[in-house]
Amino acid sequence: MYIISLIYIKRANFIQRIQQNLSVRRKKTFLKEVLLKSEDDNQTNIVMMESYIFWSIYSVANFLLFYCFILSTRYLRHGSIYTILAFYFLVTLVVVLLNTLSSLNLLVLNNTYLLYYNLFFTCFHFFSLSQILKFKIENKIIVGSIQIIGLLTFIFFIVFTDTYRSMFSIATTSNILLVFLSLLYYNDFQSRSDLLSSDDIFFNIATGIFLSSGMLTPILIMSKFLKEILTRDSYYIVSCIAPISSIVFYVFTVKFLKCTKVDI
Amino acid sequence: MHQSGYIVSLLVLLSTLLLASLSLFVMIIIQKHRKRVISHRSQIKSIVHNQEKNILDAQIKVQEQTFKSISSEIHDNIGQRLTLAKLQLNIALGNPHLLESVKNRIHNAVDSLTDCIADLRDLSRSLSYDRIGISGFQELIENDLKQLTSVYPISYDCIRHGELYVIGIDKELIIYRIFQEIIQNAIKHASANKFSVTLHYQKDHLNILFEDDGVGFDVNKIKFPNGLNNIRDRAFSMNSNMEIHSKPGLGTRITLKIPYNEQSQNQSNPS
Repeated sequence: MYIISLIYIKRANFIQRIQQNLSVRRKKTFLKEVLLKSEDDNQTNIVMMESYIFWSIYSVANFLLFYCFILSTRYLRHGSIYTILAFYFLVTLVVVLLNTLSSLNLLVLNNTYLLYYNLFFTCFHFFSLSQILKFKIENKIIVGSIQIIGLLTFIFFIVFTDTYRSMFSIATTSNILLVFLSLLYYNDFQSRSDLLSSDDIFFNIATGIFLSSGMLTPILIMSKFLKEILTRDSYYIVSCIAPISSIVFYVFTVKFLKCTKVDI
Repeated sequence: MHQSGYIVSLLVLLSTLLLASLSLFVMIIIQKHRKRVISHRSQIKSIVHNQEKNILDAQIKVQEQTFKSISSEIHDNIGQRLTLAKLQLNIALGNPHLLESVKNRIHNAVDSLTDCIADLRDLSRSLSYDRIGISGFQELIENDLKQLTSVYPISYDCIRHGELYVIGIDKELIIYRIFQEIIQNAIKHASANKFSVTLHYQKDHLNILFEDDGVGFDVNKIKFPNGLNNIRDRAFSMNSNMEIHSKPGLGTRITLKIPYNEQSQNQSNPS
């Protein structure tokens, strides 16, 4: 979910300015100063404001990600779902850290490596979340089939398209498949009698996946078209959807983890 | 630049709408699930209620069967033996060679046996439910109250309002057993001087009010003893609402609201 946002950050000129002038800690202060000082340059102001909004949302998402990771480690003994969640959050944290450090020139990584990391993280994201959803979906064969379809699609995109394009295609496919898996869970939720006896806390995590993937998919599908018609600064606003969708997912995950009392 | 701004606004609007739609979808699912859960819980409640009722019915039937066995044992075995003993004593009394002092003792024994046989007959009657079918519970209650007044210093009232319905032997028997329990409590624990039973036949249910002027008790403090528990269980077994009103020194009022079933309504008889 970070892929789009990170690419935009990577490509933006203002980030390069930040890289040249600032440490990580002083970044926000610098942005504020720039906003105040460059009153005569409206265009710069707009770009700065949009990037500032993006960075704020992105920071909230990262904070929630860290919180989710800490929370999930507390419940490791409760079962496999929690182990997968903790591992997922750990990997996500590492990827975010790598991306952030490299975008701030604190870690020397060229763009191609970063794209590969993000590409494999997208696949990891899909398989982790689909595996979590698999726990509560009764028809495991369908879930297995969807995972295989996902895998084959990913291989196809990796082999037959360039890395940058394949990443968008894989992200789109993975989100569509995750929405479909969430719908499968909802179908089970409506029909199974064993979910009637108590409130199913798993509903929270399925809803988190459903909403975050659901709101991101249309933007991902239209990304190529949007890139052509939108200016760079407008693109920042649109790309805010990525961290927002992450926030939605993390909020529901926190709710799921907070509701956990006994083994699922 | 302007076009880009419009597109962004449109996209933000569409994204918001999309999120709202997805949230609405989730809320609909939650709402449907809640309805299912409520329906499921009411089904479970109904099943548990029916099971409890069945268990109580079975318990009451077993109890009644036991009562009947004891009643017939008293009537057919013990009663007959005592009658035989009385007969033999009467024959012995006819012996002219007996001393006067012995005759007096035999007379006393015969009198005791006569009382004993009468008491056993009453006990046998109270245990047996055959009489319910013959006389109806109201007549039985009145008879029992009449007999009690000859033994205990208690006055009674038995009042009936409304058109009489035959509510079925099973329910009548349960009402009679409840009455037995209540009157026993009124005499033994409440030391009541006055006891009244009011039957109010309504359109679809029968209201029965048992009232005494005994010592009463605090309903909130008392932990339902066996007697009251029996009353409550029996009332529950016929889907009846039971209310107990009592205060220390102000007597006790027990109200039963017994619904008629369709069968009994079809068998309704004018008084």
